[in-house]
Formats: sequence, C-alpha cells, structure tokens
Amino acid sequence: MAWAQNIAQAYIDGYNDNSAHPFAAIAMGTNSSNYPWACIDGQWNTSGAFWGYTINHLISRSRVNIKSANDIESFYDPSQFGTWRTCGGALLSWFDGYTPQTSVPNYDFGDNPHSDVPGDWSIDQTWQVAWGRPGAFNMPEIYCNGSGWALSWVTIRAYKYMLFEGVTSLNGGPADCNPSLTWQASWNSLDQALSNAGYPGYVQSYAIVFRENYYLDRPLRSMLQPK
Amino acid sequence: MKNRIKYPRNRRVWLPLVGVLIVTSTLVIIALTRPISNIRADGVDCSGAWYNSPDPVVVETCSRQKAANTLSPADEMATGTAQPYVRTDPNFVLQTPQPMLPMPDYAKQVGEMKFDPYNGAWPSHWRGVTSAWVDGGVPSTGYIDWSKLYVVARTGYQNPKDIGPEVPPTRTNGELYPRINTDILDGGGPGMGRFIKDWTCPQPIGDIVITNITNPPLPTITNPNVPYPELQSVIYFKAKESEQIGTFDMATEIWTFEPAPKK
Repeated sequence: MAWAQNIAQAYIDGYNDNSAHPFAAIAMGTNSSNYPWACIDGQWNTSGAFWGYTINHLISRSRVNIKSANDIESFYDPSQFGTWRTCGGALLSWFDGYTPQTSVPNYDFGDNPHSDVPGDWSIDQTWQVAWGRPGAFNMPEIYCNGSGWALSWVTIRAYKYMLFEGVTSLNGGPADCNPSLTWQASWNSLDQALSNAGYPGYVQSYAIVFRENYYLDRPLRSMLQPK
Repeated sequence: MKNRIKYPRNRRVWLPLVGVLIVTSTLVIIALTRPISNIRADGVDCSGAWYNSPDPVVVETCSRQKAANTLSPADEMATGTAQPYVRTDPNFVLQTPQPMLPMPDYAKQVGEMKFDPYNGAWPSHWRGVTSAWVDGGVPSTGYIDWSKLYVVARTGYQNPKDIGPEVPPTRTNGELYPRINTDILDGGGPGMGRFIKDWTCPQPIGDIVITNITNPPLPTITNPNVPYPELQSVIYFKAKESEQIGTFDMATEIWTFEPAPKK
C-alpha cells in the first residue's frame, strides 16, 4: 500500500505547493469491489485496517485536509460478474478494521446498495456505512433521475437520522441515462427528494464531479467545490 | 518528662504542605486524564456503539450529536483558509507544462486487451463490453498530455438500477444492435472529449468481437498549433453467433458487412 500512499502524498504536496490553489479537502479513495472475496471473509477486515493505516499516515498540509473515500456499492452486475456482489456484512467488517486505525472521516460516494440488492444489503447496513459508523459520511452517486437514485436515499433517511455531505455527480457525462445530471441538478435532485419527504436541509453543500468532468473540459477545481 | 522530639518550626510547616500538594496534584492529574464523558444531560451515552442500539432515542440523539459536531463545508474551508500557508517544498518552482511533441511511443500502440478470466471486463463502467482494444493515443489541448484511446464493443445491457430492483436485469433490443465506442481510462485532459464517441451498428448482428484495428499513417506533428486530426481508425469485427464479419470506419462512420464465412 506504500506506493498508493506515496502517490497520494505527492499529489497533496504538489497541490499545496502551488500557492495559487485554494484550500481543499482531498480524499484518497478505494471501492468495495473485490471479486475473489466472499461476503464473510476476513480480508475485508484486514483491508479496512490497511486502508485506515495508510490514510492515517498521509500528512495534511496548510492548504489540504485529508479525507478517505470508498465507493461502497453492491457492484451487482450479472452480465459481467455473474452472481458475485459485495454484501453489507463485508463493509461493516471493513469499518471494523478501518476505525481503530484512524479518525480521518471516510466518505461513501457509491450508489445505494440496499436499492440494488436488498437481500444482501439491509437498510441498516447501508445506513451504518453511510452515516452510523464512527467517521462514516457520505456523498452518494446521483447520476440520473429515477427511483434508484435520490429517492432510494430518502428510504435510508426515513429509516434513521442521517446527514448528507453532498452528492457525487457525473456532471452531464456519459451514464446509463444520457446525458447524466449536471452537478447542480444532482444536488437539487437529492435535496428536493428529501424535502418532499419532510427532510429539508439535510444535504450539505459539497459536490464531487466524477472523471467525466475532464471530457467536458471543465476545470479540476469544480471537484469538491462548495455549492 | 520525656523529651519530646521537637521538629524545627519550618519542618512543621512544609510537611503538611507536601501532603496537600500531593493530594492536589493527584486530583489535577485525574481530572486531566480521565475520559471525557459522552453522557449527555438527558442520559444518552454516545461513546460506544450507539449505532447498534435498539433504542431509537439513542440513535436519533447520537446522530444529531454527530451532525452538530461536523464542520460544515463552508466552515471547513474558512478554517483551512485562515491558517498560515506553509509550502511543503521550499524549493518548489511552479512549472508550466510543455507540449509533448512529437507523439510519445506509448500513444502509438494498438492491440487487443485481454480480460481477466475471473473478473471480466474492467473498469466497472465497461459493463456489457464484449471486446476491447487499445487504439493508440489522443492529445489534450495544446498537446500537454496524451492518453491511450480504447475502443470497446458493447451489448445493449441495461443496468438494473435504472429499471428498479424489482425487475430482473434484462437484455434489451440493444443486444442485437451492438455498439462500438471509444473511451479514455486515465482521466484524460482538456480537449479530449471530442474523441469519446459512441456508434450503434445498423444491423442486428448481436454481440461482436473486434478482430483488428488499422490506422492511416499520421503526419509527424511538432508544432502545438497544428490541430490533431479526428479519429480515422478502421475497426474489423466478427459477430459471435453468426460469425458475420464487417468493418466500421471512424472517419466516415460507415459500417460495411460481408457475408458470413461458411462453416
């Protein structure tokens, strides 16, 4: 994991050393797709511990706050991965490993796995990895309109109290819906869905613009930019 | 009368003082080192695994406490901006990126990509990909950077989250009309958006496999003001089931089909 840590630190330092850059929160990210691993598998816990250890050894700079991020999803895709998908128990195990290693917050920037595979992801497990666990925060993927996106998170909020730090958007880039929502529309979609359900003001003002940002020739600074 | 041991006057003073000092120090140390209690006035303890509590009041209270203790994005930015700026590398010199010309060798490679037999196509947004090739490279604006260009063939697989979890994943008519599209995996750079294309085969020949890619020879570009040409690759493909073969020309966007070879 040292190579990943070194690359992340070099990026952080390079960003910091250009005095023209504004203050930023930079997250080093991973995801929950690891196909050889079963749902109940000790490697989830070990990998969480390794990840937490690595994150904890990144050094914040005067212009950079360190964060962790995890694209937590079911990765359910029969056409590509057969019957494999991750499950809620696996990610709780990952958190069991992560939390003792660091107090750096982890941002879940995936979609709603309970919405994809409710049999493998309980609503409580989805809530725990997105908010309930110590250091768990979230910026869910809101790429399109439709029940699988913003509305699915209303279900999680209705289940138990939680706050949303913002959203992850493709900002009009290629997605299963074309074009995908702009980052403003992604944010509004989640905020509106929550407000309509009686939960106004639960979305903080961050938006991650995913990689398609580049294709649209928008500047990198639109990432993690306050709304 | 026995002689009483007489302590000097000053000893009678400092001995009790030492005792008082020890007791006071102990109390201070205990006060400073004891864990800060998370037990609120309303009796809810948020220090442990409150997220597993069956009591909704505990979960609600501790969640709200967590939210209250979380810096808002605006506050985090303000706090960070207010602190003094420290450069990590005192010798740091901001360098203006220079054009990478002529084209680097890694941007010239053409070849088929092998999928992991267990994991299948990767990355995850290559859902439904039946074949993938690397087709040289494309530059960002001003030739500041180059990225490899990938050409993939896809079915019309539909992601289940767009149609709801209650509906099993299905293949739509799109499966019969395969697609060819280009992709960039390393994040790309400004100006590369024009190289991301998506073409749908006009004939319903099902899944296809790319068998070859050819490119016309490109001029050697050394001047960053000379624009990079549009895509000109010719894709050779074969249908998996019917073994129908054909080509697709990116420059003209014309598909051609030849009779399927006799088995």
